[in-house]
Amino acid sequence: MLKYIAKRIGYALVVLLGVSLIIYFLTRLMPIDFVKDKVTQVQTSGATVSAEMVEAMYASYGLEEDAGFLQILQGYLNWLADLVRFDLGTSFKYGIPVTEKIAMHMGTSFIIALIAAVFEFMIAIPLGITAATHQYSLRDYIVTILVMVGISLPAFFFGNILKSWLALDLGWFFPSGIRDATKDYTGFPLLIDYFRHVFIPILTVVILSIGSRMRMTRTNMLEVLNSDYIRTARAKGLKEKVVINKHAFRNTLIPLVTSMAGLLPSLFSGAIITEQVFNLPGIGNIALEAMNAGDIPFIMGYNMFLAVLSVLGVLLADLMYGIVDPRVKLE
Amino acid sequence: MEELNKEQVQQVTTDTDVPHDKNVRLMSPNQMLVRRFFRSKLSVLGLVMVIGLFLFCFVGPMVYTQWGETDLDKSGRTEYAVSEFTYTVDGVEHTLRQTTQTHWVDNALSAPSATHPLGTDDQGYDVLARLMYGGRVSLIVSFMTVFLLTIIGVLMGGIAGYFGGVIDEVIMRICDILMCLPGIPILLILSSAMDGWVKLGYIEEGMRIYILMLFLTLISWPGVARLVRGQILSLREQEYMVAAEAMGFSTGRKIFKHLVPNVMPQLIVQMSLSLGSMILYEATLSYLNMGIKAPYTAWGSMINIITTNQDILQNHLYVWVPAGVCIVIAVLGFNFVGDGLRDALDPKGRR
Amino acid sequence: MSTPKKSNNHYLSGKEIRAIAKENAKVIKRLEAYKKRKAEESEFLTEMKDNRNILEIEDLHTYFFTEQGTVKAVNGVSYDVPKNAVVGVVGESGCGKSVTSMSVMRLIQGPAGQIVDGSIRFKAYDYVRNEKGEPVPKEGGKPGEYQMEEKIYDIAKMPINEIHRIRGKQVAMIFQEPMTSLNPVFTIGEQLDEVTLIHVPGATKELAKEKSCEMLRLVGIIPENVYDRFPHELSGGMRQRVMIAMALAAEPRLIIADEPTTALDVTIQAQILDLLQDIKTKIDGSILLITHDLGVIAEMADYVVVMYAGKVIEKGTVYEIFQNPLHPYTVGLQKSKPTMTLDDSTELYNIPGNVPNPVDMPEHCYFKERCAKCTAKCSGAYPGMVQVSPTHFVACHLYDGENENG
Repeated sequence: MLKYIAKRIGYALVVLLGVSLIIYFLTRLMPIDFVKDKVTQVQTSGATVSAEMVEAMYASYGLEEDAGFLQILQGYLNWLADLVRFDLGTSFKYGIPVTEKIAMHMGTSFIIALIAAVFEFMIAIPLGITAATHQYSLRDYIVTILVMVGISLPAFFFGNILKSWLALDLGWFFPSGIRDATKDYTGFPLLIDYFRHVFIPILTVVILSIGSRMRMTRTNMLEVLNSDYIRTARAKGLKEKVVINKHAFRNTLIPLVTSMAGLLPSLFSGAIITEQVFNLPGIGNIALEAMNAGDIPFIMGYNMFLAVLSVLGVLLADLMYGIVDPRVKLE
Repeated sequence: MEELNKEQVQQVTTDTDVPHDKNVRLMSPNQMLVRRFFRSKLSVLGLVMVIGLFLFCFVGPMVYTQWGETDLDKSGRTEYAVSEFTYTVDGVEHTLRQTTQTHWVDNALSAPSATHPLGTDDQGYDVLARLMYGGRVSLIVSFMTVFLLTIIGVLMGGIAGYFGGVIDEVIMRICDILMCLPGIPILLILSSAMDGWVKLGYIEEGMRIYILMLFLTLISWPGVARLVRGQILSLREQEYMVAAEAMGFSTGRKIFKHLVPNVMPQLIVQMSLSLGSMILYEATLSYLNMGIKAPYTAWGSMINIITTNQDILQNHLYVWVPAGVCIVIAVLGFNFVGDGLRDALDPKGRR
Repeated sequence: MSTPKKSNNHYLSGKEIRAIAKENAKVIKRLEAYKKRKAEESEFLTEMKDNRNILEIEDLHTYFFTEQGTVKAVNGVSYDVPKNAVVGVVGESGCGKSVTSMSVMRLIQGPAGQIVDGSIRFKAYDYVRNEKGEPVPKEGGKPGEYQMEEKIYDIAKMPINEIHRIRGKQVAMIFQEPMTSLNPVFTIGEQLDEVTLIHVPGATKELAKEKSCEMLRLVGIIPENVYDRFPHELSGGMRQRVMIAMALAAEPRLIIADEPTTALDVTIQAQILDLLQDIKTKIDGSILLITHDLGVIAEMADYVVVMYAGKVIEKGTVYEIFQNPLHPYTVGLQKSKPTMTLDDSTELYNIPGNVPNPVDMPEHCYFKERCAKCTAKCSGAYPGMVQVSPTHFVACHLYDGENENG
């Protein structure tokens, strides 16, 4: 077991090294003059970017003018060394360390993603199961269409439609932001205020992600229902309800729980498009702004953060698989 | 009696490529596929959607010739605004109504009418015409992307599966790395870098979306590669392959002979599903203002306006909703077709 | 071969395919509605023809409605299972022997597979139930003891939601694939206990465990070794023993063993057969043994039913079938069995040809094309059952002169 985890972590490190190389290479593609331009822009807009910060950034990203191969390599190694120490540099748009900025906005993204994920699983699993147990019925058709629509809707379009309709036309919810800054709510009114801000974003995320989860449940359930042990369960004389809710469901749960573990890290990564549409102070929206401003330390930090999360997701899903499925021994 | 038996045996064994009993008629494999595909009403709907969109984008402009992609409606438009002032003189309330007349050169943001079936956008372009031309960009770019990534995927998967060993290991690790890359954010970095290139005149602004999609191709092939590799590995496991190897025959040729029919159906499914996701990618990038350069447009770019103009978002739905609907139809269509094909090709899970 | 159809195309036309699909949908809808209907008990209560039997299958038709046409997997099968007897059903794969047994359990996978016609009469030993459908306790009995009575059900006519009266409790089944027939995520104990818990009213966990351990000991397993194990931790032979224990746990009157040894290796096969042999004497019930292995039949069975292409072609006691096989197919089957006495120069006999395609069965005897003894009469109607002794029946035109019997 330990050996297996060590091996997996080894693989994960190789993957992360590759990802960091690609991200570094992409950043290096930026012309120096352009970076200088951007820095000046940021400085004139009133942000506190000291000359030392800019110098430090150039050094750590190997962005000095006419840098040779060795300097670039040196830059990469510097950056990597900082990365290992969880030092992602200082964002020059926000003037604070990137890690701090990420930590500041992770909460908003996490809470929205968590609530959305809870609803997603609560709705998708029962629907996926009924679709499978009533294959080719009207229910199955409706679920299939819902699945497809969910998968096919672009976040920016669907989010804006909901915003235009529920917030701007009907005025039931607020079109952007996470809370009303002009009001000093506390207690229950504050909760209501939050609710009226995050309802549409959460609805958007749920509708968009529910499709693939439902499809996954349905496919798995169908596979399980065709297996020999379900026939045995029926032959025992169990009622169909028990066969489905106990014997089949417990088996369908294996990939579902596994995927839930895989989802865990992505809860922190933020939904860029949704957060942009509703102007939420989540990590995705912050990252988008940083990228538009050419804030290199933040861009690189954020992308590495995402890569680490996704590697972690794969790892967690694997470990979870070993825990949930008695057949799997992690070796 | 012995002779009779022999003759019968012979009769059965000579008919290898037809069903055993000549009087029995079955479905041909192609018929079965077509039948399964068309049995699902959704696949048919998907096919109709995709074909309809193609006709709309490529034949549409030939029929709808009133407006071109970059034709501005210069007919002008007059806007009237009424404002009211109340003031009190000696305790008596007076009301003053002021009417302002503004004349615009361009007929921008005009509601759907006979001249503009879907109205005009904020610049004065005809929305319907731009929808048709914009669709061309979205569809062509997505098709090219999928075509290219399939070629790369087949090559890489083929090499990995065929040679195995270290080469396989390296290619698979590259796949792992690419699969861990965050899609949109990584494209945002590249786009950010390209801002610099454009500014320094290395590239044209119009090249941006093509370079981005090319890069997307370069990082999206692992799915196809894994499919092809898996198929080759499972072919190698087949007993007749093992037998051929044991007898000293080269298996390479045989693998490729069997690979094509085995992998083709799955590849087609994968391609039609990727088409959907590539259209989504292209639309999202265009929406984030990284799309094709004005005055040309794509579906995503047509929605971009609402990020800055809330008035259009709320009051001029005809400017941006049709483009969104087109994107949804395109993605939905390709997904329906892909799903239908998958069900038709994979009889497992069928009754 | 047979008369070719006018088209030289081997494949169906699109029109024909659509016609088949339309017809199938209609039939399936009707049969599914019949299966799912609610019905009074009196509707599926019946009487046995011969009271010594525990199971009487009469003129059973089970069809599969596929896109290519209707597959008549079981096409008018009749046979009986007497009380305390082992009946072996033998035939090559695809002859409908498993589908028959699945029909008895009502485990045919819908909506394509349907029992179309016929009756399956089963003599159940069920609880006496009051108006609410609850079992009536035995007067002066211990808790968990109830009044019992014999009831004869027609399984083919039972609505599917009544089938739990029979399934598992009265008729249990042992499957061919021990490796995949146990649920991988539950322990052996959990899966065994379940049988007692659902079939004994008011059963407690302790009672169930006790019963499960008793059953495990009966099949020769030390309960402590497997009770808390998961299926994947056991070998195939062990799993099959567990399956047998599971089948026995509810004390069924009939055990259907569907090729119980096919998936096991030879030494384990022998052990499992010994076990079944042993159990046969210990339980008060009958065994319906389905196999393609004549050796197993000879060792285990009292009566033998030979099936071919969805029909019974010969049935009788094990002595009659082995000493005096009448149908050319039965004769061929026995000749094709390897024996030690044959000298090396003799090739193993094989029956020439193939089973006709199940979608489009000929009118005449299905075995005609492969039969060495076929006569002019064989091109006529399908032969009826001929009774040659009180227990021996054969469906072949060669014996038409003797006692015709339906």
